[in-house]
Amino acid sequence: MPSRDNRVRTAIEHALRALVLLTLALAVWISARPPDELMIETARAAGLPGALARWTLAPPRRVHVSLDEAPARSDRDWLRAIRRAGTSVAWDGGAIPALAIEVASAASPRGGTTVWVAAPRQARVAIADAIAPIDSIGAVMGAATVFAPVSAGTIHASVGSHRASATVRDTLAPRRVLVLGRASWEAKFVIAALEETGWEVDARLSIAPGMDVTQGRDRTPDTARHAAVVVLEAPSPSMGAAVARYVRAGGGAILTGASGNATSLADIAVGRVGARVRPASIAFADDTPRQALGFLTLRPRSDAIIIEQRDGRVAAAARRVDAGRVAQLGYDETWRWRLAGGVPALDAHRDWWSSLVSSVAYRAAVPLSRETRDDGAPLARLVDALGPPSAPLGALATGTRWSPSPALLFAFISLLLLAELASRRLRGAP
Amino acid sequence: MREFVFATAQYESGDWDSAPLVPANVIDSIARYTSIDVAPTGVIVALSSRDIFRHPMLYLTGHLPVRFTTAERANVTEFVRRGGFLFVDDHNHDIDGAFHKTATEEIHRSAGPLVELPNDHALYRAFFHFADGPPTTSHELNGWGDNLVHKHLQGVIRDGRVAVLYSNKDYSSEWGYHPDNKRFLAIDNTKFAVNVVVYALTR
Amino acid sequence: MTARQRVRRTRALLLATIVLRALVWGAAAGVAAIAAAGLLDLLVDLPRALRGVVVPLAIVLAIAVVLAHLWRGRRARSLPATALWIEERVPSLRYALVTSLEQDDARASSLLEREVERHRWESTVLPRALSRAFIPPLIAVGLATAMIVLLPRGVVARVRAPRAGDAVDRPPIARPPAASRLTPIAVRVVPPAYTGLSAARFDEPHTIEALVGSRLELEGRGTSEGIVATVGDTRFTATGRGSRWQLALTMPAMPSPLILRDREFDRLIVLDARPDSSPVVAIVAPTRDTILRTPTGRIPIRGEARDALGLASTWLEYIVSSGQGESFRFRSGVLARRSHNGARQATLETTVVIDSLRLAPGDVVHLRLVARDRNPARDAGTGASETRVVRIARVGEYDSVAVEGAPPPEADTSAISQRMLILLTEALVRREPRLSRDTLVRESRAIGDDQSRLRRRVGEIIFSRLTGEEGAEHSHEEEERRGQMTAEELLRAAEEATEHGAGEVLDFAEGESPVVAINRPLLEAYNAMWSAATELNVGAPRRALPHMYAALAAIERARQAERVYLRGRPAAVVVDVNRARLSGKRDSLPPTSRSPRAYPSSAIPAHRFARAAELMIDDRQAAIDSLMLLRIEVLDRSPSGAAALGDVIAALREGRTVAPALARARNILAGPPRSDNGLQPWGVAW
Repeated sequence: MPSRDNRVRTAIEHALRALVLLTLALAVWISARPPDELMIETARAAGLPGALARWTLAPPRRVHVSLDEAPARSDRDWLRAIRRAGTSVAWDGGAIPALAIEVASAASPRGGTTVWVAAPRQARVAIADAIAPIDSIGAVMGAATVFAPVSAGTIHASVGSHRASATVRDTLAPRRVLVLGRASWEAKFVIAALEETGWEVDARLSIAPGMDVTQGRDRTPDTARHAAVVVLEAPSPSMGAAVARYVRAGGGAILTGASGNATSLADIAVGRVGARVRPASIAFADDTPRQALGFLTLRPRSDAIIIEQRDGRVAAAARRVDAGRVAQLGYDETWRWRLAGGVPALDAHRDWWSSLVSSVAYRAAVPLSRETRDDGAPLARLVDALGPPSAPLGALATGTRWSPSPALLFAFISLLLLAELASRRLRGAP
Repeated sequence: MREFVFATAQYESGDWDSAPLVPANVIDSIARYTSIDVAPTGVIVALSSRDIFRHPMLYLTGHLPVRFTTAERANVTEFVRRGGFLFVDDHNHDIDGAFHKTATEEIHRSAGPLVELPNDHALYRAFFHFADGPPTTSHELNGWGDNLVHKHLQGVIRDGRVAVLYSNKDYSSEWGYHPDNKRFLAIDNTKFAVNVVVYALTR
Repeated sequence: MTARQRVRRTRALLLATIVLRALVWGAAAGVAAIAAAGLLDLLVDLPRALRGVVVPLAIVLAIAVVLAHLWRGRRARSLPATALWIEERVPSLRYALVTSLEQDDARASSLLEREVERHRWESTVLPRALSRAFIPPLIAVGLATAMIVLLPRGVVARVRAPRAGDAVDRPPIARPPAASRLTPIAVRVVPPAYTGLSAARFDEPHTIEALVGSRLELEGRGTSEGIVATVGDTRFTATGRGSRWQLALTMPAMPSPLILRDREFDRLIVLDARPDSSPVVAIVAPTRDTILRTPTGRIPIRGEARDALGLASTWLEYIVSSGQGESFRFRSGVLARRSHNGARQATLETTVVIDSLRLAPGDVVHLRLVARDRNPARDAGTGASETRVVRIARVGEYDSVAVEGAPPPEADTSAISQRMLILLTEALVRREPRLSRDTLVRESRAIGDDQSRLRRRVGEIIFSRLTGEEGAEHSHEEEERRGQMTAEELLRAAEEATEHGAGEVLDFAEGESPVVAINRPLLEAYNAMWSAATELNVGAPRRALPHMYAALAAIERARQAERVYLRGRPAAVVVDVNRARLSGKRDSLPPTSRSPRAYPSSAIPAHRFARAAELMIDDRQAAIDSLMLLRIEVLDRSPSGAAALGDVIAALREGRTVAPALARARNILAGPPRSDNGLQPWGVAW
């Protein structure tokens, strides 16, 4: 007859066996239970890759992702795939800034890259390329523009730890610049400034009736050959008409001084040229050099963009004309800046003219065949992939749905069986 | 003031004003042959002042030795660097005179080495065509003075352009008469001045 | 010989052996250390600084070993210890030797002496001991020496006496036959002889900085066959000497790349040519140009010259120009030539005796100091000071007196003082309503006194010019009388005093004589000051002010008149441009064409920098080469840019982070980025 101890132990062994059976039943139930619409799987950004793998193996009905930074492009695509596979994906990420970057190579023989950045107002944006920092700028109005004379590889914009990146995707086929005018210091030094910055120039400068100083073979503007035309004096009617045609076909033109009043250029001119304004200062200041230049006031059209004015009088304006761009300057003696300006004037004058031409130049882009892993607008892409963010889950709802791992269940069952076996053997039972 | 203004450089060391009628004569020729806007009178600018940067072409002449002051030298260097054109004419038409020796030395120090311009240089085709290079002056031909004919002009070349044109042909004497007297000449001897100005304005 | 004496001899022998053995062990340790360092250098290229401490370390090690051995053998100094050492090796003595040394009893002692006498350890024990003592250290010395002998030639020299340029002395352990012979390279730079500088050697140079004209001797390991170097368009072929190749070239005039080629291998070295700067010469005295009334006197000349590499000689150069109009004659010469034999700095002092130059009125003398350094090149090495012009006044030209020491122009002084008086008077007028009459009169008179003093000063200037006498206005009565004259009356008096009528000299503005042209405004100022002083003395500052303003304006005019007169003014001809326009005969001219302007030689090739920057991402070595070539190009245009590029290259070469150096180089060479807060409506030009 079994002793009292043996009876107790036998009872415990029975209990252990029953517990094993219950655990097995639980495992079967967990694996076989239907998705519960009320249960929400949640994950944080740091644990997102693991959660993605789990959700792929056992797709939940709904998931909610709380993000403190934009997910990597691959994770975002994975979430989109899960969503397409039928799982409802919601997310919140109030800390992710609306950061975006776009880059384009400048239409200039010197190269360079223009970077446009959108960021939250007042945010400090750091711009860097693949090898070094480029600049740091405050997005006071929610956006910033940076021109990097030299850059390499992918360009990044960062706000704190948040980052957007973009790579130049095309290069520009070189085109020449056509300068039309008469023999003058302005013509000489405009051509010099352009040639010294690497532009190839065609020119036609009149010196006497029927006599021009010419350069290059192509002396009528053509988008196949010319990036822009610079008109320094009122051209002949036929040349004016050619310039107008060229602009409408996509070319760029810069009209200076009184040339904008030429009848043949009336359709493309940015505005009418008015009275001359005397220089605002005698000496050339390095930061505001054009204050020391006189100019002819412009009365721009309604569709013009005013780009420089002094005391309410417009010195420079621009507009789009069909596919082309036209900039009009009231300045007609910028050579004085180059000669009489301060130490940086020579380079500044060159750069200004080169930038002017770049800003209107016909862009003959040639795509670059390069693989990039850019993420130019992480937040926008996230919204595009997953829809707008939802409200963060409350404290009660943020608990993860209970789902013990199979390994844990197996270990638990093994432990129970081991205990049951040990008990049995210790009391001498088979 | 968008017109071309003929500027004479005034320097400290010599008789910079030795050819006072040359500016008017050159201005007259510019008006006579071209449609270039030109001011009716020339101006005088001190080589040591910032005023030289208001005039991208400067004419410098004299008989006496040329020794630039530090300020003049610095200004000439900067003037040339920025694209200015300096026309220096030896009023002595010497080959080894004091003006020639000192002026060429100063030019070398302030603007760079002088080289002989080939006689097919663009300067000689800038407006009128001078197939044989620089036109000869009467002083060279009639034996007045040293009876020397200089075959070439010299220049300081910067980025393929003549930045300083140096002549010891004494154009200052050749062109040093009142423009009204041009009517007495069978051939206008100031045509080369037009080439110099057109070259400076367009190259 | 007693036992004690024998032990003493043995002890002496043992002590000598210990010392000698210690020395041999020390030598072995030192030699072994050098050999080990050589072996290590063979395996791993030890830096020169490290190799430099090997010999001192070997000496320290040798001394330490010697001392250690001496310490270990210190017990041999004791006689009992020596006896015990013998007893240990001759057991048959059975302590008789030790006991005999301690025994005082004569009888017992003789017994022990006899016992000891029977044993001759000197012939048995000592030879064995000596051989055991010396053989191991001698073997060690031999092995270390053998190691040194067996090491490749040059390796020991690199350790024993390391020097710049010994990179080629280190043979690689297992050099594959196809390996590049361009590494390692040593270069010896021999500066031009005139500099007196000594030659220098460098290992593995990336950049060779040397004076233009220096001789560069490159040396590498291996045969010379197929090794060529190019600098610009010039090609150099290596020559062989033993197992080395050698190349000699001259430092070019401009920074250039030196490209070395060995079959498919190449190597780029920057030749950073440093031109020999000309001497700097400054003239200290006289401080400005001078006009002398007569061609007599002496002008002291003082100046300074300096040159980084030494001055050869200095001299004073003069050019005398005589004549006027279209006819000029020139004389030139050299005075006070001195030799300086390479002194870096020299003070030049001499005196020009004007009489010796045989000058005539109207002559102009140009004086300047010239210094030459020791550079024998014809067009190099000469520096000159500013020129001082000494003009001899023409007859009748008394507009200026000899000015030595260059005081400031008198009129300027007056103008400054007059301005100050005006400011004081204006302040007094502003305060007038608040002042009592007495105070007003007192302060007004004080200004009036100053005004009178200034008037007298102007008077002195005028009358000293007119009469050539200083202080010609000292008579108070005459002053009173002159003060009441009109300007015209005064001028007339002045003309009479100088005996030069206005009609004599007519080549001045508005037909005035030079005397009148210069002095009229000053005389007007003089009269205005008189009136102002009178008003101030009666306590009427408000009424004085217009006169004071008139005086200031007149002084300004005087300055202008002086300048205009001294400089001369050509006749202005106004061309009737409209009448002349296109009136010239112009035959049909062929079209004229313009050729494109060359890319400016002073411009920084930013686009090449951009390409090199792109290379940094994928091909570090190619980026280094591109940056080196770029650095050569910008060396003379942008020294700061070249330095920044050097930092980038160094960072790339050493595998350090390149970002800070690159950001700096980018800003210097390509310009800083342009940024704008906002999206610009039209490009980035504004």
